Parts: sequence; structure tokens; C-alpha cells
Amino acid sequence: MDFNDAQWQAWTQLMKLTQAGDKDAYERLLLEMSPLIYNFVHKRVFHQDHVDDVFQEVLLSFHKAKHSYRSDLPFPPWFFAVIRNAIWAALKKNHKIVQREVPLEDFFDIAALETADGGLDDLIQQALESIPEMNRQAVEMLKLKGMSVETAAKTLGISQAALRVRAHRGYALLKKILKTKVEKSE
Amino acid sequence: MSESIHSKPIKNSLPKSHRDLVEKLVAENKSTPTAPTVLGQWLVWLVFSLLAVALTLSLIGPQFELQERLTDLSSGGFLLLAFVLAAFTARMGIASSMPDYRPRTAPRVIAGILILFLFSMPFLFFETSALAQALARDRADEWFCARTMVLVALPTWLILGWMASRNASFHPRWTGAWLGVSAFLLGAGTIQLHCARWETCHMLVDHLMPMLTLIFLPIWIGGYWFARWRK
Repeated sequence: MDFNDAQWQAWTQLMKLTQAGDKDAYERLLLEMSPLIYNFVHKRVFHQDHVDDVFQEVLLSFHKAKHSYRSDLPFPPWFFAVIRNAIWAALKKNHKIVQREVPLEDFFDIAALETADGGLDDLIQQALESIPEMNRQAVEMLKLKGMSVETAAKTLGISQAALRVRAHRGYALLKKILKTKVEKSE
Repeated sequence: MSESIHSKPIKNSLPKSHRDLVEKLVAENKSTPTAPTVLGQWLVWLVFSLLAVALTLSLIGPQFELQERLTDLSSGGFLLLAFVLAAFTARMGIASSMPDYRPRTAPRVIAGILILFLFSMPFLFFETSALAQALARDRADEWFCARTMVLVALPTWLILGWMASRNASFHPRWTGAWLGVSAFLLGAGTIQLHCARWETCHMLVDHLMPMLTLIFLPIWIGGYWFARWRK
């Protein structure tokens, strides 16, 4: 799509209508801007696995920040500044989640210490059984069955964000349980 | 407005999760009033601050030699710098709470240097006194200046925070920091209009130190308060 002046003028009009509560104009605006936003995100996000998440975060931020656009000012500078800020904010949020994420390999390292007491599989299995079912399902699907976030979320009938939250809570619980077991054995 | 020729193909080409999100956002859309401009919000702060200073002075009274102090270069400069910095940081705080704000280094550096200069002014221009003696006097009057300073800062910070929380800050901690500094400086300037003790230790301990010791609070609260819109 060619993003020329006429296109920006049309979007400025749609933005004004959106602020007035016009749902059709808003749908058209979001749909028409999506490829531009997606490309903008795609160019700035290094890990391709995160592009979809960041794109969704950016759309959400745009939605919640749209009341701050003043129709007497040009739309493109406001739009790009918001999108740029939203991308950085989403990346920061993603980075925090990734930092908190405990790779399953770590569990193997910890559990390897315990092999004499029943083996690796048993230990992880016990730990998995002791966490809440919704967290266990998320961990099993993502880490043991190797399903993608999108597929796992669809299977469970929840959003991708909700799945990630469940999985991260599951990792944290597993880490805690396995560490406690190791400390007890030492 | 009729649907664009582009809309339908784009909708069909989007992944389902994106389409669902667009539909959800569209369903949530309603008419909302546009946020006031940064200048408009800053003017609200200015009016509120003037009222707060006027009310405080009407309650505790200005110092006896205020006119002389205002015309004196060092004390007048100190007061002017405190109020100008309060206004500048309030302006920066409101601007940083807008979603299209682009952080720049220059305002931070300028504000930092000026605040540092403000803190060094008691050492450079005013009467030096023994710390123990100053603290004894402060204890005797139950830290009146520090308490009043915080009491002036609190409502101005709340009004600024309320305005900023209605915008959409992508830099909530910076917004918190700017607004906190602004409120404390307004408090410091106001109490200096009342307090006739232009002594280094008293000015530092009672008028300026609350800002240094409590500034973490508006930053910490700002991190949550001004980020709530994204939750």
C-alpha cells in the first residue's frame, strides 16, 4: 500500500471520526494501518517470535492513547511517536518476561543432582503434579509437547497473553519446588 | 463512512488473533473527550499552585523582610530559581505523560544542573550556622518548615498526578520524578517566603532535604500510577 499524503489525510479524518465514537471508521482505520504498524514493528523487533506479541501490544496502546490526539495537529508525527513509544514499552515488557522465564534446561540441571533418589523424570513429574492444573497444562504444552504459543492458546481456548502468564507462573512454581528438593537433599 | 476498498482484503489477510483484537478494540470504541493540551494542563497547575501558595501564606504569613529579600540578588535569585524550576519540571512532567512524548537529554541535564545549583546556593550565598544548633532549633519548633513544605507539595503533586494519569505516559517513572520534583520545589519556595532563617543548615535540612529524601516516593508511585492506563 502506498502511504501518501492522501492516505494520511484519509486516516486523519478517520481518527477524528474514531474519537467521536464511530466504530466503522475505527475498524477501517485499524485495518488500514495494520500493515504499516506491522512493518514498523517487524523492522524494530529482533526476535521474530515476539513480532506478533509486540504488534498486539502496540495496537492496544494505540487504542488506549488515542484520546490524546488533537485533531488540530498533524496526525503522522503523533502516530509515529506513539507507535515508537509503544514498541519500546512492549519490548521492555517482553524483555522482563523473558528474564523471568526459567528455561526447562535449568530444571534438568537441578534435577540431575537428584537422579540417585528416583531419577530425572520422576522428579520433574512429581514437581509438575504439585502445581495447579492450569499452570501444568501450559508448561506441558509449551515445553514438553513443543507446541507454539498460538496453537496452545487455541487448544485451551484462552488468549496468548493469558497462556504466557499461566506458563510463567508454572515455571516459577516448578523452579521453587525443584530448588527446595535439591536443598533438602544437600 | 463507506468501507475502503483496502479494508476487506486486509481484514482477510490478518491472522485470526489480530482480527479478533481489532474486533474487540472496535467494539470498545466510544466517544471520548480529547485530552487537554500540555499548555492547558500546565496552566491549570499554575493557577492551582498560585492558589496553594497564596492560601499557605495567608495562613502562616510571609516573612517580615520579604520585600528586601525579594530585591536581594541571592535570596531573590534563590526564590526565583525554585519557582521557575517548579514550573519547568511541572511542564516537563505533563509533557512526559503524553504518549507522543520523545525523551530528550537536554531538559534533564539543564534541570539537573539548575537543581544542583539551587542546592549549592545555601553554601554559596547565605549565613553559615552550626548543624547541631540548627537541628536543635528545628527540633524545638517541631520541624515546622519541613512539615509545611511537604503539606504544600502534597496537594500540588496530587493535582499534577491526577492530570498526568488521565494522559497516557510511556515513561511513568520519569513522569513521577518530574512531578515529584516540581511539587517539592514549589513547597521549598513557598516555605522560603515565610521562613526568615536564611541559614545554610536550616535551608538544607528543612527546606531542601525533604525533596532529596522523599523523591523516591513519587518515582515509585508514578511507576504504577501513570502506567495503569496500559493494564
